[in-house]
Amino acid sequence: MRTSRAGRRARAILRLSVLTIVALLLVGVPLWLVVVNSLKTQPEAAQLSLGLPQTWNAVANYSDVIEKSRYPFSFLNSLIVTGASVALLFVIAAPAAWAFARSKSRGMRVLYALAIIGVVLPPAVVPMVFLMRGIGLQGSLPALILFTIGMRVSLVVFLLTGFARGLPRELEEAAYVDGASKLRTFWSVVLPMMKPVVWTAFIISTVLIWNDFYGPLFLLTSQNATLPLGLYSLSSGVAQATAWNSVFAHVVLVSLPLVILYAVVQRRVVEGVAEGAVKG
Amino acid sequence: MNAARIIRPHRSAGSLAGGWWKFALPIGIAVALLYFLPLLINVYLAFTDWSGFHSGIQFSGLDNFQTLADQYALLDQLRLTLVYAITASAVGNLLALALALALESRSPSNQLFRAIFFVPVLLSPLAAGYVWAGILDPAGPLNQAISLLNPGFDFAWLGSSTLAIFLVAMVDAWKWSGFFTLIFIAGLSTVPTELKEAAVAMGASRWDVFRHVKLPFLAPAITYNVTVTVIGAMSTFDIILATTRGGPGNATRVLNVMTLDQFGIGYFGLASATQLVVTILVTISAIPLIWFLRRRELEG
Repeated sequence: MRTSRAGRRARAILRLSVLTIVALLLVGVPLWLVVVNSLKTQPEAAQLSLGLPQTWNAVANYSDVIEKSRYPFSFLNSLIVTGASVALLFVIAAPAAWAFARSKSRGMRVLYALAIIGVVLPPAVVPMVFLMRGIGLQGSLPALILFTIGMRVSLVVFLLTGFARGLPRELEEAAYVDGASKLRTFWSVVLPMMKPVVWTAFIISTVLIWNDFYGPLFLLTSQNATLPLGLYSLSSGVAQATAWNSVFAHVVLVSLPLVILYAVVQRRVVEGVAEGAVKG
Repeated sequence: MNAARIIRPHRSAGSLAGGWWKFALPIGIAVALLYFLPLLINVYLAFTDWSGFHSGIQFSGLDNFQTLADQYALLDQLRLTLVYAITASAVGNLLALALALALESRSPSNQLFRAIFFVPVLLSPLAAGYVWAGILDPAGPLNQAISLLNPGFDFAWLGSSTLAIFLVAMVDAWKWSGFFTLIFIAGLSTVPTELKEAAVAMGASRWDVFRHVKLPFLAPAITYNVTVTVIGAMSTFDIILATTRGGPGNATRVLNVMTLDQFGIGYFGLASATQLVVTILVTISAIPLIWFLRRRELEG
């Protein structure tokens, strides 16, 4: 009996070692490369070594990138675009999800089918430029917000509707029988029950919208850059091979907000995504 | 309202059945104006000479598609887009499946590893591209490691016109595998414990348990993951822009990168035509997915 327990222990240790090595190679080394080289001088970073800096140049690199990329400004733009898009997405999609889940009418079923096509078929960006020029919004944040809503609304309503279908009807029917309006029933009975999926959809859409680069590149002027667009303008402007320190400092600065958010809500993200996947 | 309540103080729950359209009106408008309208306008623009060089937009028949075929080697880039999509999907899903099987049980160490492997999902694809441009650089850590065995090794991975497309697709796989791992884990959680225990009690090997017990329950997750990765990768853009920018030569110039290039030099109609090709390509590939999602809905 002892040997088998020892054997099991050995296997558990082996398993953990293999996982640790894989995690180091796939996640540890890439992230370390970025962080450590963002702290070096330009000639030293050009060697792309994983060693600690011989000359620490962190303050100069980061303040240089923050200034050149107008980081606070792009950060604010990213915040506005992500905040406004996500808020509008839920205002549009949450009531609709309940309606799609409950309505038995043919028209509503057709509308739902049309609304979720975007889950697989991305919208076209070039005609959006055409439209935004037509109404004088091209290059501005509202143009990107409108494009983003068209691009993501299908995913959000798809996740929410899948969840709403599984909600019990008794509570909402009781509220309605007691005289609450439909809107009131939705707001105070249905929406609280949808919290788990709203959370999941919020995380997924926030990550996708915050990181989006395709929309901003076509629809924003560089004066209105969001963080990824700022990263691209700066990193494609310099010769990459000679300025890894600033490219990597920029990568850190662009990724940091989401990584911090993730560190705070980590457990809920990992469980929420799995839940959303099962129910969506 | 008050009068209605006096006459009919208690409504029947049945009346909750109608009037849903008001709740769906905003999404109807949003989808019509912000999703379908651009797609329709794109069909029109693809057949025009809209450009930055002259005002006015004229119908130009199939000119754009002729240009795409003659000057842009459309078929080659179409093939490249498919190679990228299939590589990204295959590598990403195999990696995710292996990780999911390794991290299936909910032990504290597994929770930690799940969280670690999820980190690349948070990076913007553009940032992920720069990270791997550094790793695959001739002076980068990959060649440094190889040089330990083979001193002076300085192969330019992303400069190889045969390898580049596979490598950028693998960066895509790396970036998303943490997400698909979670979906596979969710699929594995649907396997009944008794079934696994019975199989083990009957002396089934680990492979047999995977092949005959777990795999059937993973089918929905696999179909979902594979289709989403294949179709997502058809619209790839950011990673290539950060690593190879379409090069060397045209070796990684997938359709969306081509769109940007044409748009950037002012050929807007041509860019629309390329977008239309992407739309058609995705539509053709998406039909199996929609069919699958519908079937899953009916089952649920």
